[in-house]
Amino acid sequence: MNQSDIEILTRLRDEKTREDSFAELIDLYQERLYWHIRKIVITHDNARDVLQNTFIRIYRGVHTFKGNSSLYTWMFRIAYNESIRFIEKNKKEMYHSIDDVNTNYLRTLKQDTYFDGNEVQMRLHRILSGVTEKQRQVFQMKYYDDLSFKQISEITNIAESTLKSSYYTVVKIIEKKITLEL
Amino acid sequence: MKTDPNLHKKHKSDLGYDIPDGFFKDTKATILETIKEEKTVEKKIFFLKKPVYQIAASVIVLFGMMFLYKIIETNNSTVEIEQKIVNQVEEVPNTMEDLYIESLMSEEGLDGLVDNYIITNILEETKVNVEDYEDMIIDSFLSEDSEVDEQINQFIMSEIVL
Repeated sequence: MNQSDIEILTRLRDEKTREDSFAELIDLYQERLYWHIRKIVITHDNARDVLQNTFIRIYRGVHTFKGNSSLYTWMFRIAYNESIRFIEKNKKEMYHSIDDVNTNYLRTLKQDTYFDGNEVQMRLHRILSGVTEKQRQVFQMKYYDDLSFKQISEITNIAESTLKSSYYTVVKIIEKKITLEL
Repeated sequence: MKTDPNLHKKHKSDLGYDIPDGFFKDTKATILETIKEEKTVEKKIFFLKKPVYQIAASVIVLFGMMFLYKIIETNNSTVEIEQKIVNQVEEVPNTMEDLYIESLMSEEGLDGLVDNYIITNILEETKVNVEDYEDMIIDSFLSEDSEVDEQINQFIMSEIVL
């Protein structure tokens, strides 16, 4: 934990400054958390709901945060877990098999009002729909959320070596498919 | 409100993701509102909780003690009654048994045994003089039946009951 985290936590744990510091925390992190969630749950509406739940969990759980990781990583882990919980819940209701999940990825994307993908973007999504959910999440966390492998490992509880392997596998698949299509 | 234009741009240009205008401002307001509501409910529950729980706990303890006392009392009286019954049951067969065995073995027969039993057990218990009892029996031979009854009643009233 760095000095900034300690200061924020101190204010968050003080009843007098709690609400103001929590508002600051939302300002600081909500955008990054939103995009992290959006890439997992795909649609804007789902991401909005999961983001709200995430911040409510952060607010409730701030007293239990032990400081083993940075505040930023801890918040990402909550957002990640909330997103996975959402996906799992919907999987049971909507999907019948793992193939269905990947087919559904593109269908869900196209149904989203706030998705406006052109041909190039759709090509990337098609490639991403062909890898496993975990591989996709690892790639997105590394490439778009700009998280280190150490941070991703803390968030997902997956060994760094496995994460690296997953990431480079997806990178190779993307490179190969794009080269073939060109 | 601090937003990172690069983040939006990156997600828009690479992945085609978009968001409504003013989304983050609205979300922040919604989250803070939800937390405020939750806090108010928590406070209400907290203030409601304390006296209600204290009263409820007192009532439960009170009822518990009453119930416990009742159980102990019932147990005690049950034990006493049981003990009395056992004593009586033990006494009656012994007396009757003794009487019966002795009647079979004695030459005086049952009448003598009854007299003996009355003298040794009942009269002794009631501290009645044996001579008084014998006088009463002799008198009874000389008197009419009604007088005998009256005498017995008087004797019982004066000697045994009183």
